[in-house]
Amino acid sequence: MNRATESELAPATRADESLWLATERLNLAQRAARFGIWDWYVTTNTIVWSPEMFHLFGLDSESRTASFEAWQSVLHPDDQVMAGQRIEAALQEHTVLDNDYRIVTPDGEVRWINSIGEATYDEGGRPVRMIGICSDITQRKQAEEILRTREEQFRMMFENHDAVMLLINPLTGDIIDANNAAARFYGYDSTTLKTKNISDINALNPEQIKAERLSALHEERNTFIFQHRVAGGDIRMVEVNSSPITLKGQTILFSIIHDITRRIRAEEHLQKTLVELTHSNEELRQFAYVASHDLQEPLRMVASYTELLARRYSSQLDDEARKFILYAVEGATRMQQLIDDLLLFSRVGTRKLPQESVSTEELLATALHNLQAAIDESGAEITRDELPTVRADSSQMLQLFQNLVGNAIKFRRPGEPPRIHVSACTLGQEWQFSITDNGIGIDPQFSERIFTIFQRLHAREQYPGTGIGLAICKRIVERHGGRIWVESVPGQGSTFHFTLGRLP
Amino acid sequence: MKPILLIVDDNLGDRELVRQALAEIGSAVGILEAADGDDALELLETLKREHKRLPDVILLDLNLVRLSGHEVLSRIKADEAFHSIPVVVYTSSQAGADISRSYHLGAASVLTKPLTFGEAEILFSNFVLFWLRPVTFDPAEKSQEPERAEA
Repeated sequence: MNRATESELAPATRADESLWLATERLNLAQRAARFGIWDWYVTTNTIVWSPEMFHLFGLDSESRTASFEAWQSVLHPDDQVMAGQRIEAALQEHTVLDNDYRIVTPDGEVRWINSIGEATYDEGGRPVRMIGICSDITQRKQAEEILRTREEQFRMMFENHDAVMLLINPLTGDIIDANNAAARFYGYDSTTLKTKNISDINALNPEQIKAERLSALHEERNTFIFQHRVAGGDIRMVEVNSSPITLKGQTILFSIIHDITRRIRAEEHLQKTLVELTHSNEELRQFAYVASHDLQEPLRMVASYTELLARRYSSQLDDEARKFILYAVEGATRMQQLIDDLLLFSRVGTRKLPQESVSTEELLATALHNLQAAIDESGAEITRDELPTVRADSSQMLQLFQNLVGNAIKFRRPGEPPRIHVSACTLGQEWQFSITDNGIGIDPQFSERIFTIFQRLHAREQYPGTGIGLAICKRIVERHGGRIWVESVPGQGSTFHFTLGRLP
Repeated sequence: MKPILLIVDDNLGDRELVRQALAEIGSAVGILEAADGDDALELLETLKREHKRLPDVILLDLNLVRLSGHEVLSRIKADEAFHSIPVVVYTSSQAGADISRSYHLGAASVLTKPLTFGEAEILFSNFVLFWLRPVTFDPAEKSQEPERAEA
């Protein structure tokens, strides 16, 4: 087929070798660039197409001949009138024709064609001949269409999004565009906002702003924390995500602005609270130290001198006086115990927690060993299930088990040997330990209060103690991130539950 | 010759307790008292100036008004005339830092103030045994002691 088409344009004789060569080169160029040449003799209405023209239109050059009708037959119905009018106009106004139109090939494929042509005219200004080229611009048109769709989508998103958005000239800082949310946030109408420069809004100085803008442009950084001034003069803390995008062939900065004023305030507030908390914790620790230390001085005086009084003058005193001295000694002893317990309690909170793997079975065994005297005396029967290994401070865990089992032994019903069972089960990501006894139980109305420091429910003569044990238990469990609570039926027994995080 | 003990404590009750405990265990001890650090240093200076006998042992409280016990201790240890007098720190503090600082400054011992009179009796019987019984040594023996500067 190529041979045939070449021979069409080639001269009949090959006498003029250079002309033949030029034609050959032209044909090659047309194929490579996918453009065809058309030559229209207006007066006779005859048309000559180069072989590539047939190609472009998807026509068979052997069965079809070039004609105005052949051209019209491939034109897309929607572009037919327009394409004709444009030629008409070029001829009338003696201008260069440059038109894009669509064609439909016989296979049904739609192609975009760009046609450029120029006419020659006779003395009367009537067109004689028009010559031009057609090229396939389908790919470019498709790319443009995609780009147009994208830009349209972007514009839709930009305009209607609730997030505050600005388009900024990366070099000058001029605000090219601002969406509705931006107008609301900054308190200017969109038109006013678009006349502003970002330095009218950003509280930094212009040099700093420029440096930040360039770092966004070169994608060194994308997220910035700025202070933006809004219409009323208020300063808002903003987090800006800024990155370069290409719109209509231009690189611009697309910035999304988040108002983080409240977040920053909340963070500041939190930080302040944390500092205050640390401070008050430190004061509390100091207090516990002072209490344990300075309170002991006068106490020592009271205890030692009442003792001395009892020793030296006992024989000169009557029974009542001796009883008074006994009460004073008892009071001092109790005070001593309270101070010691207070110190113990405060230490649970201040010691750094060493986290080690501890077998709670071994801990329970040690606790029972420490409680042996009480167990023997009460005839307690203690059973347990299989107990897990946990990550915890072993000395605090020992104290926890010892306090809870010790309580279960201590608060027994008269004449009823304590029966105590220790168990553990998994509860989600936690272990739940339970210590069940058959003791006196706790009135549910006190089930919270028993965990507060120095809270007692019974007369000292009945059940001795300062009321610190469960407060210490609670503090230990909470320091390990767990909870402690009690379920009880008064007169039948209690179950103390506490949770600890499971080993990962 | 009775050994002499200097008690430095700003609490009158505490000084009295020491005296009572020593009396209770029947120890014959000459007792000097100072109500604070400045008082104690002044007393020592006066004794030195008047060539009177210095205390054989000093019982020093840490928690004093004005000069702290540690301050008093380091001044005693810095003075050529006093530095060989054993200073026993007598305190209610059980803080490790207080104790180690006391030893660092040259305390001979650190005793915790007992909570009851009974405990005080036991403590001071030991104290007497440890620090007051062997203090009367032969002056001739003392002269054979190597000079401190050479040590």
